[in-house]
Formats: sequence, C-alpha cells, structure tokens
Amino acid sequence: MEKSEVLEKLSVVFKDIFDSADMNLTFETTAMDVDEWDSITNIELVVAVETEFGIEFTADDIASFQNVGEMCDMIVSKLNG
Amino acid sequence: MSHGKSLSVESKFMSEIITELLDILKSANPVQYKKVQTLVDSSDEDFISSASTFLNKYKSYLVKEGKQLDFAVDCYCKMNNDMVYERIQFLKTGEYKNKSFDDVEKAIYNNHEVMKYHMHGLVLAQFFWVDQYHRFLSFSENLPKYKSSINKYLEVGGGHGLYLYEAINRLGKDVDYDLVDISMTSIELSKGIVDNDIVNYHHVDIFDYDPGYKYDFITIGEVLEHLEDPKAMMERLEYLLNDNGLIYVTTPANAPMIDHIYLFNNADEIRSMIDETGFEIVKERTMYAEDAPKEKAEKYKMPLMYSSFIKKK
Repeated sequence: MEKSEVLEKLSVVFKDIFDSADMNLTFETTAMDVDEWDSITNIELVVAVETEFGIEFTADDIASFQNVGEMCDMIVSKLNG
Repeated sequence: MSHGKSLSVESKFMSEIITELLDILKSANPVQYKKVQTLVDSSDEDFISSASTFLNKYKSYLVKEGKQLDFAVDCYCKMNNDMVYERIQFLKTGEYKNKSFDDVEKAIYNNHEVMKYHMHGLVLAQFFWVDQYHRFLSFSENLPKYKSSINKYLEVGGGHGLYLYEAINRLGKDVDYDLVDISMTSIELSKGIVDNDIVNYHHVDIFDYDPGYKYDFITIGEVLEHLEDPKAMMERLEYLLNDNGLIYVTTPANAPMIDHIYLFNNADEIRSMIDETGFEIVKERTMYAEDAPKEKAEKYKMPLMYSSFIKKK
C-alpha cells in the first residue's frame, strides 16, 4: 500500500474518532492541530488504527510518531514488511 | 471542532518551574502537554504552591546530579509511552503483562536504564496526573487531623519522597520517621529530594523488618499493585501498626504499567481486601485517571485511583 492510500484510510479513522466529517488530515498534522486529540482519544486512535490496518504497534512505534506522516510511514513499513 | 488553535496558559496561578516544564513538554509530547496544561488551567493556588515547592526541590536534586529539567521531561515521556502501550495491550487481553515479581525483577528492577526513567517519570506524574495529585491532596489535607496521636511514622515504598516530605511538613520534626524500601534506587531518590537528616532509611524487605515497636501511622502508596500477594502485605502492616493507629493506603484498579503485577478490577475488590485483612475504612476517595464520562471510562478500562485512611477493626 502506498503512503497516500494509507493517509486516505487514516482520514476515515480520524474523522470517526474525532467525530469530524470536515477534518483535513495531512502528513504534517500533529496532536497540537486537533483540539480533541488528547491522552484519552490517543489510545482510542491507536487501537482503531491497529484494527483498521490489521497491524500491531510496539511501545517504541507509539513513541516515535511526531506527526501523521510518520504514522503513515510506520503503517506502510508494517504492511509491506 | 477546531484545528490549529493553540493552548494558552489560562490559570490565574503559575510558577516559573511549571512554565518551564510545560514549555519542554509541548515540543516533546503534545498529547501529554495538553493533558497537563488542562490540569494546570483548572488548578488553584494550593496546587501551584505544592507542585512548585516539590518540583523545585526535585530540580535542585537534578542539578546536584548534573541533570536538567529536560532530562525529567524525557523520562516522563518515556514512562508515558510505556503506559500507553501497556494500556492498549490491557484493553486487548484484560490482564497485566507481568504476573510475578520475578518477571518484573528481570525486565525492570534489574534494568538500570528503565528503572531510572521510570522512577524519574513518576516524580512529574505526582503533579501532572490528576488522579495522582488528588491522592496527594487527600493525604495532605487529612494527615494534620491525626497529628496529636502520631509519634512514630512509617512509609513503605517511598518512591520519590513526596509523601515523606509532606508528612514532615505537616507533622513536624519531633516525630520518628522510618522509610522501608526494597529498592536502593528509590531510597536514593527519596533521600536526594527530601534532603534532610531526620529520616531513618531501611533498605530491607518489609517482611524482614521488625523495629521492636509499633507505628502510629503508616503510609503505603502505589505499592500493593506491585506485589503478587497484596493481602500478605496488609497483614504485615496490621502487625506493625498500633491498635489505635492509621494507615493511608493507595492503589489503582485497571492500571497497567510495566511493573504492575496484581490487578484490581474495581474499587470493591480493594475494599474487600481491606476488610478481609482486619481493617475498616475511615475515609476514602476514588478518581479516574482521565476526565471522561463514566461510560467511556468503563469502555476503555480507564485506571481508577483508590485511596483511603483505614484503621484496625
């Protein structure tokens, strides 16, 4: 799967978790850009992403995401690895 | 919802050290920054005063050790990342990963690097996590009520020294203070932060510790969940406590961490253990780790902090 396809699928997950149909998710988006992206929704988000892509993140993976683009890279690497 | 809105410092009360820590945290972990900023925004003068006093003592200790606050924030972030991972695994399995003390000893206690960031991370968590702060608040507000009957004070598992430090502040220096801990890392951290010569530190297993007298007050915070058999610990404390003495006990339910072993599924299981080991509850407080509706808290098995003052039946 290409990184752009991952972003497309991620956008659906984010819109669902944050209950926002008009959310514009980009590779540069961080938790600082989304008011509702807090410590509670962060756990919901990681669980939802794992379910959507059929992958599992490690503790180091979770620690490494600085923005959505890095999350996409990690997902691509897991899907293609 | 809105995007791109930056959080601002809205609390009427602020201190230099909290501002400094928040600035570092903002770039290190935005999710945690938001959590702490929200707590600070809703806090009162007492919170800022207690947090600043203790965190400044911690900062002095760090400086003596050749470290700065960014080290503390880095440790806090590492500990939080571990916790997020453990919580996700817990949601999937309904169990804590480690089942025995040996498991944790191998993975954590004997791993100096992990122990170091975990212990330092917990120092900031005392004021950065709302449930941790409230268990401290309950202790700080209620301890003075028992001051006249406390001559001998014991803490089991002192962690970072916050409760010992507060006990000395509240009870004065004429009380005999003992701290018993099996972790030398923990004792050194407590010693370094509390920084006085009136506490007797004992690096020993509480089951092998018998001073030959009983205590008027015992504090045991965030220890039971680290044990295979918390009931046995409570029974040991029952032996070490005066007949009219009190214990301040805190332990969480549904709180997976890298070094937690014993899973309490809810507050009732903790209350039952207290009852079955010969104690009755004098005063208690429970609080979820996050500010969320009960329905969501239960769905995501959110950690629940339990704290109480108990006495012998």
